[in-house]
Amino acid sequence: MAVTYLNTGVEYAASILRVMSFSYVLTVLAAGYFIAGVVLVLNLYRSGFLRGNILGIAVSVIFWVTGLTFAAHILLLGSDDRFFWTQVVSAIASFIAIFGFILLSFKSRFIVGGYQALQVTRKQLQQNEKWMQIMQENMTDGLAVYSLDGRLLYVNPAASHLLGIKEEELKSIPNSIFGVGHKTELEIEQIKRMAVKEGETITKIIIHKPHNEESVVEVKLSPVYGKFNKVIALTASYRDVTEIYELERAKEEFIQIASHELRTPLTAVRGFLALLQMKRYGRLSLKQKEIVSKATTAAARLSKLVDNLLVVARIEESRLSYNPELVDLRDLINSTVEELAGEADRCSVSLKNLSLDKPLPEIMADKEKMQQIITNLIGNAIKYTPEGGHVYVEYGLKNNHIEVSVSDTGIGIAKDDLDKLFHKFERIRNNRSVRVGGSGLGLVIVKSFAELHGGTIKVQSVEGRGSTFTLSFPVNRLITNPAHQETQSSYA
Amino acid sequence: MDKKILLIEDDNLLSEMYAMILRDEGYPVSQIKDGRTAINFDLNEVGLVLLDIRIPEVDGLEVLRYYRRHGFDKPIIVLTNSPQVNLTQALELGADGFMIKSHTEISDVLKIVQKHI
Repeated sequence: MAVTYLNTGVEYAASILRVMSFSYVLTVLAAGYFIAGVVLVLNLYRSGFLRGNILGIAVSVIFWVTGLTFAAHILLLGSDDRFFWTQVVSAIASFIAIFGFILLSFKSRFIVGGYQALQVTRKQLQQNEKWMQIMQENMTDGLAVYSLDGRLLYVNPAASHLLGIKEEELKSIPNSIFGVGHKTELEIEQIKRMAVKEGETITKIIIHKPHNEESVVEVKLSPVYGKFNKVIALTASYRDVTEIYELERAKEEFIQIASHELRTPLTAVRGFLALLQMKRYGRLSLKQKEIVSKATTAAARLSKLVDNLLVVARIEESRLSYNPELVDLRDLINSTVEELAGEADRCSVSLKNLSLDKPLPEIMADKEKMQQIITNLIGNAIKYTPEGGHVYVEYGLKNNHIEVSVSDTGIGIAKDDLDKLFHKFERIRNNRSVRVGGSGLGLVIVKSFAELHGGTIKVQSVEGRGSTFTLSFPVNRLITNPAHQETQSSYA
Repeated sequence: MDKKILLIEDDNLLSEMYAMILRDEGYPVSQIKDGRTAINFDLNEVGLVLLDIRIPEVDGLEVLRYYRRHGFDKPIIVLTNSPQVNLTQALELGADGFMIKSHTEISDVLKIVQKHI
């Protein structure tokens, strides 16, 4: 029916053409069919429909085959056994054409609809991409993506602006996360390792600009997870924190100055009150003694408040300025012990380093703060040890932790006071601590600095016999230098 | 032995306070309030210097350095308001001791002076 109809149609067209004998018209028609097929296929291909789509390939093949058979049909019109061949060829052509048309009529909606949908989706994607690009290029925060081996995969203009380095330059240097000259290769590897392990690391760098200006840039490095939760890249976000930094600095400076200004007259008040109580300036009546004693208590309380203000300021400041670099802890401890030997001498206390030659891995730490931790601990031990006593410093690796301990044969700490020891607003009063005139803030600072490094501090003490303070830093977090890994394992 | 004490302290009240107890103990005391005067001061007869670190015009550490460089070999005790000031540096420059003013009892001031002079 349909076949016959089409067959008849083709025959009819052929007979008309034969009658017209316009052989060149036939050629043009056949060529037209080819071109139409090619155009259609190309259009379909361009719409993305033919890419990886079996139906699309089938449709294109149908058009080509139909076109070819129809062309053969027409060309064979002039040959002798044309009747037989025209029948065969036209039957095949008609069958394929009809099969193709049926397929097309079924799928035409899909093709057109799919094509339209694809166009819409593509437009949206293009739009989204455009917005993403506008966002990334115009945001004030810098953004960069690095492969794990340190190749720059993406960087936005803000990042190169904040680092003060051209994009091309950033791309040409491996591991350019922190710009140029701010961190050593080893330190960068350390920070990267920390980011992979811990999820996020924040580093501050100071960028020197022309005209003697400086800006503080906070670099947040975080891992990008791929399949199986494996880290496949690192994103770095950059933020100019100069203003916050300066504000914090100003605040801290204000507290410092304020507490200095408060302290001076307060010292005078307390001093004069003490003079008033001295017999050499005349005897006080009982009532007068009571009054002076109350004034002294109030002045002491005020003095403590000022001290606390200073501690808070210092701890705040330490968080602000935490600046890790590779530190040879062994060297640092040994030289600190040497530095304090003079003071121990003055106090007639023997200071011994029991671990002089023990190996320790280099660690990522804030050198200044680490030094202060060690100085405070040893200084305290010397201060609270009576003449003729001993202070021992020991360090080593234990259970994947770097442990530093400072022991003394000093006055010790009462059990009840052990808990208060590291608290911000507690200070243990005993006769000795008043006499040695310590600020009592050292340990609070030690604890907060140790925590800044992911460490802890513990204390064991027997009153009257001595104390041992033990610092502990997890090696996994701090170690980077692979050269020391062996040392570490052979040690453990 | 020279008993004269040179007291370099910019705060009037504190200076008066230290001077009072020292004088009452029998030490002659010269009071100075700034670094420039300290550098020009004639150190003959001075047996001990109490030196505040935070003083105007010339920093206390500079005064310390100047005194030691110019052959002054008597004890110098550094006074400071906060323990943060780099005391190690003061000791390296040749100070013989230090006092954190807000944490030193007035009677201890006397003891420290007596110990060093």
